[in-house]
Amino acid sequence: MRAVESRRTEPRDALFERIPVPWERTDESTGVDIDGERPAVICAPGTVEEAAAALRWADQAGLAVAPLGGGSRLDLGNRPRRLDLGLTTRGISRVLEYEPANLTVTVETGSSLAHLQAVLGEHGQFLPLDLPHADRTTIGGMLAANASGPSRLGYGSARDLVVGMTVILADGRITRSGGKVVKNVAGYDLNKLYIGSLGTLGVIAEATFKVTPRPARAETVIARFADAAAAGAVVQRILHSSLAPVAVELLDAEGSRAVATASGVDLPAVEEREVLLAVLAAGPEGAVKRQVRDLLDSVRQGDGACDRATDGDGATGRWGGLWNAIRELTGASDSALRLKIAVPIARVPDVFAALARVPPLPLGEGRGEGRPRVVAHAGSGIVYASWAADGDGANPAPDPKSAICNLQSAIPVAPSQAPAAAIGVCTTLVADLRRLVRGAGSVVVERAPLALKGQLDVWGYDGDALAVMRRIKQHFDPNATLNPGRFVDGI
Amino acid sequence: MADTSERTLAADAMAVLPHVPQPLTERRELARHLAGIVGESNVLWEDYDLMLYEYDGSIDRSLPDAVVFPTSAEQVVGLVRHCAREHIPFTARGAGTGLSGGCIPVEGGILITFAKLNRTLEIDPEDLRAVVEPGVVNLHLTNAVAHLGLQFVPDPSSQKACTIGGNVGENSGGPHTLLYGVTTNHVLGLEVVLPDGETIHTGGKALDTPGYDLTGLLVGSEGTFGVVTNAIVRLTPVAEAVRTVLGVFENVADASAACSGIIAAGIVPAALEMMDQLSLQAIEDYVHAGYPRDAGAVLLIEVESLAEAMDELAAAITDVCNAHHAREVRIARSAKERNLLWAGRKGAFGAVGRITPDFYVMDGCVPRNRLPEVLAKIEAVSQRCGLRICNVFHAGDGNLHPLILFDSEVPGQEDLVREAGAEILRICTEAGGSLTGEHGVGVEKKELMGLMFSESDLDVMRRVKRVFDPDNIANPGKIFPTPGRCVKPRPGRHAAVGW
Ligand SMILES: Cc1cc2nc3c(=O)[nH]c(=O)nc-3n(C[C@H](O)[C@@H](O)[C@H](O)COP(=O)(O)OP(=O)(O)OC[C@H]3O[C@@H](n4cnc5c(N)ncnc54)[C@H](O)[C@@H]3O)c2cc1C
Ligand SMILES: Cc1cc2nc3c(=O)[nH]c(=O)nc-3n(C[C@H](O)[C@H](O)[C@H](O)COP(=O)(O)OP(=O)(O)OC[C@H]3O[C@@H](n4cnc5c(N)ncnc54)[C@H](O)[C@@H]3O)c2cc1C
Repeated sequence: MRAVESRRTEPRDALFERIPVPWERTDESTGVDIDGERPAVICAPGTVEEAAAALRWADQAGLAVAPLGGGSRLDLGNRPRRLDLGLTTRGISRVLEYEPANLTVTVETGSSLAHLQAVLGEHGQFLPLDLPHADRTTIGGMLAANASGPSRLGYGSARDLVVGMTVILADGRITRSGGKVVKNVAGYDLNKLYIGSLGTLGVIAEATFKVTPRPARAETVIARFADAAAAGAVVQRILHSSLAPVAVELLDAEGSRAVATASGVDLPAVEEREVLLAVLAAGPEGAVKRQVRDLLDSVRQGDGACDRATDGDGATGRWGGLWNAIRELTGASDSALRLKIAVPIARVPDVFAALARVPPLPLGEGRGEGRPRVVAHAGSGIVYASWAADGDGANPAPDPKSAICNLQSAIPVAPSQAPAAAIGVCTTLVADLRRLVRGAGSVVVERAPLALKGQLDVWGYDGDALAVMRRIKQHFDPNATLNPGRFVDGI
Repeated sequence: MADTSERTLAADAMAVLPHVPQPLTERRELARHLAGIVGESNVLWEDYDLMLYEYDGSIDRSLPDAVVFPTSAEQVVGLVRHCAREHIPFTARGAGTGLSGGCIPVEGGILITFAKLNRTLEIDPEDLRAVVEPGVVNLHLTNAVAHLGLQFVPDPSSQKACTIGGNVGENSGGPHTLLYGVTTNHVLGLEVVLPDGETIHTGGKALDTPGYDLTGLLVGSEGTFGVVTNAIVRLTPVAEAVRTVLGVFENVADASAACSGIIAAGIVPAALEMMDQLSLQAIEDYVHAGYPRDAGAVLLIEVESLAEAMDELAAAITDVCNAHHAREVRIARSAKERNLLWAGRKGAFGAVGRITPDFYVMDGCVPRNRLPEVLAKIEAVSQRCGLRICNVFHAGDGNLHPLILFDSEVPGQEDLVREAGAEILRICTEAGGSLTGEHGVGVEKKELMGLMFSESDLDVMRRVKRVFDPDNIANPGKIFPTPGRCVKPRPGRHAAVGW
């Protein structure tokens, strides 16, 4: 409390001198930028206890803190209401406990996903959360953003894979939820609350996951259909069969073009209105052969053309590149506008149809044709539509040395430069899509120019539980220290 | 834990003080109010009737002041509003098969029973979802979608009786949740009446609803956040082929090692159950499942996948069992043989019930590779307290169900059982495990929460409880240790009792 009072009398800069952990001042070149706001300093604790001390200090000093992971998803959410400190987890990144026989692993959340996968890979296991750029994505950011990839169909998402967590609350208390065993119902399942909370309830410091043995074999089947409805019928057949594929993805023409370019895989040419289906089958040898055969049968019965299957390992090498390109497109960081549309499974084709009717967005000169690239986790009812910010949608190469600190350079269009006309068209588009899914799903604006963020509600939550969510935030973070303003309803 | 003072403390910790119901005249008055909401025929309040609702599948009991059977969500709102206004506690009850006292009204008040709120509101095969009221019996839902080739995956062994509301309350598991996940993985949305009478809707048929994952938070909250009035659940296609293998071992250590070996070989069976000698004998006497009576332990292993994978998987499992000195590996050759093997497992509790006047089901969970050591320690507890303990459990996920055999007519045995139970759970938590894998904390284990969670951890949970239920009227007296009891060592007691 003393600190809060002193904040009023002494300049913020003098306060920083008392940060109890290593920290550095930021400037233009550091580049950490959250929707145009820059934290004045970045704290870099080396242990969970240090992170807790930093957070406690900030909370008492009345400063706003943004937890920072790999920095690949800092644009998610509303503009920050306040921002003073960044708290990077990069120094908290060890794999703490790994018992292959138990299929569980406990890891500090500053670890990159790639690092964790490498450790698990030594024992033929993996964490089935297949995000792109696993080298830049931290475990903490992944959980805070509830990020997932195509294989969530087969393996579930973070909520299905996390069994325990250590979380630092805003007041600096280090608390545990869940446990370290795969089955546990002792007390409330707070893990669920932290996953997807975007760092607004606490800093996730450690997580224990269920991991999975690597399947013996994986194959990819792809096919082209006249339209999303035809593909949707085949998706239905697949989902109702006992084939249980790991991933079922649909791409529209722009989407498959982008994926072909990025991966170098020679995909069938997909014309306007047509869609591409990509299915990943994995499991024991015999089962996968049979899956591929049945999948191809389903495709033919559903009038799919240009069907083909890999012969060999369909999840690494060239085909691995295909899947990576699909994943990347769902989180395309080269986009001026990216939407995530979640609907009941059978309505995915409706969303494709609606997106096909959207007029080209006036994104400004040299910014592509204004057509969305659409990719869907069709088996999970999740559709991503992104509008490229520059000509061909190529990703700018990130500077690996400053993975945390070069976010702005990864965004080719300065967010504030969106032309006014585009703002109006985009808000209308989002409103139209929300009308389409009302009561049945959601449309989240995952990435948008700043000017647009000011004009619409990026989360679009239209349910009746806001009061409960607000009270949760109030009980966890009464001073609104953590990522204030970024979450649903400005939480 | 040889110190007797600690033992007494543990027994003390697990005992419950039953609620003394209000006098008849006051209950009659309450019942009149409630009848105005749900109709006279849907209210019970006389002594004789209430006694049927003082217990569940555990060993604790406490009487409610009234039992009501709402037939609509609106009636539930009316009931909860009444409770909020009058500060009356309410407790939701499904089938009452719970094994931790979750639906026992320890502070009295109104027991809201869901036997009549049991319609399946929608089956939506295209989206692989169903919308059900909480009173729907678990197996009835699976039966209702079987013709579509679909199922509701969580399959507690009580599935013929237990309700979806109860499954949601406890986040229940079952033999086949090893591969497919427990209730929380299959519940995607809820309609909940909060303790102030407001109704909220969480999640939905679509995934990833923006905002905090309240659905995930509510599942397993044991009715302490409010009352669920309907649930959107996931439906899953039934696997095309299944193969059931019985591995017979000389002792539990070999069986445990084989269990870890199967997982280590990269196989995730749909089910992987263990039964030890005492339970095998009880089961054989009752069910005649064809289990060897003289074996030290058997593993019942089931794999589900495509037909083409069956031989490969069965061969791999057989190899692992043999590598761990299996005496015999038997593969069910027909549906009949398979059903018989499962009849043994599913009838285990009933079978054990025949060899003892009473038994007490524990539910600890440990890391799979600690099973041999933990089972040995449980055996030592049995020796020490002179009570037989048998083990029938979900070995694949390390979820132990030691059954402690006793006779409640023998003075002092119930206390002894509680002591032994507490000690077993302490062994589980010391092995890095959990107090409860699937049965919930309820009243039974609330004083033991300190074994797993620090005061800070519990404080966070209390904050969440306050978010939903600031007046503490939703199923009060559950989950949290009684302040000042057990978690802190008492003056004069052994200092090591700091759990
Ligand atoms: C090219 C590209 C493609 C992508 N594609 C996908 C995709 O397909 N699907 C998908 O889901 N995601 C995708 N992503 C996002 C990325 O993979 C992230 O999912 C990940 O969530 C962000 O991790 P991060 O470590 O970079 O987090 P950051 O960006 O650093 O942080 C994300 C948010 O989480 C908070 N946070 C970070 N660490 C913690 C912590 N320890 N505790 C609490 N809060 C914390 C931050 O404050 C911030 O609000 C993509 C990213 C890129 C660059
Ligand atoms: C023989 C036997 C075998 C069993 N096998 C298993 C097993 O394999 N796996 C397993 O996990 N469990 C098992 N159980 C335990 C028990 O069956 C499960 O916990 C079951 O889910 C309880 O369902 P119920 O309808 O009986 O709920 P109840 O016992 O009536 O209630 C359980 C909890 O849920 C709450 N609740 C009920 N309905 C609602 C509602 N509508 N809204 C909010 N809260 C509600 C109650 O308040 C209580 O806290 C077994 C029990 C028995 C007797």
